[in-house]
Amino acid sequence: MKSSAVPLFFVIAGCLPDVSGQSLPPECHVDSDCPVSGQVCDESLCWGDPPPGNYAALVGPPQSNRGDLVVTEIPELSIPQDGGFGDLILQAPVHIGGRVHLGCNAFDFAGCDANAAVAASITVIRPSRIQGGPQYVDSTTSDATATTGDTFSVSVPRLALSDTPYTMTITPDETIPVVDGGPSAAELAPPLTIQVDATDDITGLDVTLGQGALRAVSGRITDATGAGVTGVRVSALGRFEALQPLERVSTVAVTDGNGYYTIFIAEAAYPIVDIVGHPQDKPGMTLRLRDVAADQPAQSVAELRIPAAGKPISVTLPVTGHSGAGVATPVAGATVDVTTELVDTSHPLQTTTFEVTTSTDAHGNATLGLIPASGVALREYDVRINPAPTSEFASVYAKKIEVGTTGGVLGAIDLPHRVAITGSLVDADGVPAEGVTVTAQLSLRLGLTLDTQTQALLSSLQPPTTATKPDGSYFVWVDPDLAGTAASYDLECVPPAGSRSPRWTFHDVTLAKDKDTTPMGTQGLPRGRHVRGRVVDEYGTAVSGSEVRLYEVVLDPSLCMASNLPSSCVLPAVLRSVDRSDDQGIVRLVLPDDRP
Amino acid sequence: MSANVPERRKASVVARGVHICALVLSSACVVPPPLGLDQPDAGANSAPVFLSVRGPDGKELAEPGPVTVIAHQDATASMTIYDADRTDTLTVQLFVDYTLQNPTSPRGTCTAPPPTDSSLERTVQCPLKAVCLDNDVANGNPHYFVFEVYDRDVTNDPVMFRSVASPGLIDHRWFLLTCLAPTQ
Repeated sequence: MKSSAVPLFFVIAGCLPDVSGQSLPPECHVDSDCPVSGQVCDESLCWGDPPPGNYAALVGPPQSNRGDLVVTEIPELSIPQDGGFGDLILQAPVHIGGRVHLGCNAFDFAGCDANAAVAASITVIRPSRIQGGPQYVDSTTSDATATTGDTFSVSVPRLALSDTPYTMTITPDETIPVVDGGPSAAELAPPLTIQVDATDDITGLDVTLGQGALRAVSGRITDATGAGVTGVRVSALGRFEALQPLERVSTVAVTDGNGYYTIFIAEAAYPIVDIVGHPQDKPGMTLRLRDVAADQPAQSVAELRIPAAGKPISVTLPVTGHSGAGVATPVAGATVDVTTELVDTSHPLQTTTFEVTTSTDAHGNATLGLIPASGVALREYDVRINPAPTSEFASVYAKKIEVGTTGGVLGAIDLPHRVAITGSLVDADGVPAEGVTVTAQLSLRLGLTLDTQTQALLSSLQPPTTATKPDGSYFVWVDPDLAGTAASYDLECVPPAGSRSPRWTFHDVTLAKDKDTTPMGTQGLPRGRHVRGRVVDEYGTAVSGSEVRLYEVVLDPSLCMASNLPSSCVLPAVLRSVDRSDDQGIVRLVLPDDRP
Repeated sequence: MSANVPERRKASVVARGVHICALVLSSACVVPPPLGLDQPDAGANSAPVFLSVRGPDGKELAEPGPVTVIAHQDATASMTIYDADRTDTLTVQLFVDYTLQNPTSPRGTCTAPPPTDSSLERTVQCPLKAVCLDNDVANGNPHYFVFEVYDRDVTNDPVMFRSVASPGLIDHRWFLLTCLAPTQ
C-alpha cells in the first residue's frame, strides 16, 4: 500500500517519485521531456504511445470485500496515444441456482427419493469473450443436506444475447450414498451436461439426474480361472464433444459377487466408448475394451479378464546422469513412469495395462511395485523419466527395462545431458536486466505441429525457469529432444515487479546441433510503453485490489498452416501485462514496443 | 488492505512514511528511502504470505474451492504474495494429490525475484498447463491441489520436493480441484 501523502511531499521537494516509489531516475518532469508526441509526463514517467495491436483486458475483482462483483472480460480495449484507457467497469454477477436430484423412475432402486437433494460437483464453462483468451470456468458443489430449495448457487458474468450460453456439467458424487448403506449418486446416474443462458438471475433450476435416453452396457469381469471377480470398479470413458480427451460418460458400477456389472451411458455422449475396469486389489492395473459401440438402448459387451499376474515385487531402479566432469551422479526428484501391457491371447479385444508412477528419492532411486515375469520370459516395461526442470540431465522416453520373478535392484538408467540455453538480457537502453524470470516453453510453432497425444505428454512437463543475475545473464537447462522430436523453445521473459521493461517472448529458439550450449548472446528487451486506467464498479466507485490482465489478440496467418491447430485458427491471446489496482483503483501496465 | 496481511507490514508502512517525511523535510531533492526500511529486524526471516490466488479467468480463489482447471490449457494462475524480506527470491510450487506415500513432483513452478521497487507485494504468474493430466480427468474428481511458496531454495529433505533450506519459511493455500477435459 502506498501513502497518498507521500507524492505530495515529493512534489513540494521538487523531485518526483516514479510510479512505485522505486529508485529509478525520473523519465521526465514535463510532457515535453517525453520522446514521442502525445505522451504525457506524470509520476515521473512518460505515458502513452502504445504500440499498435488488438488489446483486450480481463479484470478480476477482489474476493475479500467485493463479492458483489464478478470477473469481467473486455474483448476490445482501445488505448489512446496518451496511454489513458479510462475506466474498466467491473460487472455485477448473475446467479444461477438450482436443485440437483434423481429422476427415480429411471432406476431399479427401491430407496430412491426423487425429492432428496443429491451431492454432485458442478462446473460452468463458456468460451472467453476475448479471442484466444482463457475460457471462463467456475465450479461449485450441490449440497445433499438441503431439504428444500436450491442445492447449489454460482455467480457468473451476465451473458449478452449474442454470447454463447454456459455449459453446465453436473457430475454425481461417487463417495456419498444417497441413502444410508445405499449406492452413491454416481452409481445411479451418469454426468449430465446442460446449456444455461444466464442473461438474468436463475433460481430453482431443476437438474434431474438419470433422465433421458440412457444406454445400458452390461458385462462381466473374470479372473484367469474364469470365475467372476467382485468389487471391480467399472465405467465408460468417452466424449461429450469430438476431439476431447476421454472422460467418464457413464455411471460407475462395482461388479457383483459373480463379476457382473451394468453401467448407463449419458444421453449426450458419443456412442463409441471404452469400457474400463480397475480391480481394487491391483492398483495400477487397467482393463479396457476399446471402441465399444454403445448405440443401442441395451447391449452386452465382451468379458474382461484379469490376467494371471503374480504378487507385485519391489524393484529399485537407480537413475543416474553423468556430470560435465564425467562423474556418475544420482538424479533425485525425477518423475519415473513405468508401464507394461499384459497380453491375454484368449481375449484379443481387451488391453490390460499396468502403470506405476513415482519419483526418485534423494539417492536417485525409484522404488516400484511391479508385476513380475511369468514363465521363463522376463517382463518388459516401458520407462519414461522426466527429471526436475532445474536438473542438468535430460528426459528419456520409451526406455526399456526387464524384470524377473523376484525383486531387487535393476541396472541404472543413465540419462543424457541437457543443453544449456545461455544469454544476457538488457533493457531498451542497454542496461543489464536483473531479476527477469526466463522460462523456456515448448515453442508454440513446434507445439502446433505435434499430434495431440504428444502435445498432451509434453504439456505435463515442467518448463525450466530461472532468473537473470545482476549482469543480466541467465542459463536454463532444456531437453534437446522431446519425445522423439528435436526441440525448439520460446523464451518467456517476465521482469520483476516495478521494472519499466515489459514482458517479452523470444520465439523459436533452435538448439545448436551436438553442442552442450546454445548461446543467445545479448538479447534486448523492447522498450516499455506505459498505459493506465482505473477499475471501477457500475456506480463509478474505484475498486482497489482488482487484478487486470492485459492481452494482445494474435493474428498470425502463418501459424494457421500448422497441422494441429483448430480449424478456427484461434491462437492463444498473449498476456502482455498484469497489475493490481491501487487504493484509487488505478492500474499501471507496461506494453512491449518493438517498433524500430 | 487485506485482513491477512501481517501486522508487521502495517507497522513497516507507517515507519516508511515517517522516514520519507524526514528525508523530504531535510533535503531539497529526495532520494528514495533505502530498501532496508522495509526489512524486519536483522536476523529474523519473515514468512512469505499468500494474499490472493487467482485462476486463469482472473477469479480470486477461496479455500476450499472447488477450483476447476482445464487439462492442457495454456493458462496461468496469478498469485499475490507478501514478503517483508524484499531481497528474498520466492519460489511457488503447485502440487496435485501429493502424499508422503506417493510424493509426486510439482505440477507447476514459478519464481518471484526481488522487486525493483519498494513494494512488499509481488504478483507472479504460474503456468497451469501441467496441473491436470489426462489421467486426472479420466480417473475422476476431486483432486487435492496445493499452492506453496518458499523463501529459500526448495530441497528434498526431509520431505520430497516440499522442503526448504534453512532458515526458509513456507506458506500454502489448498483447494479441491476439478479437472476438465479440454474443449476446442
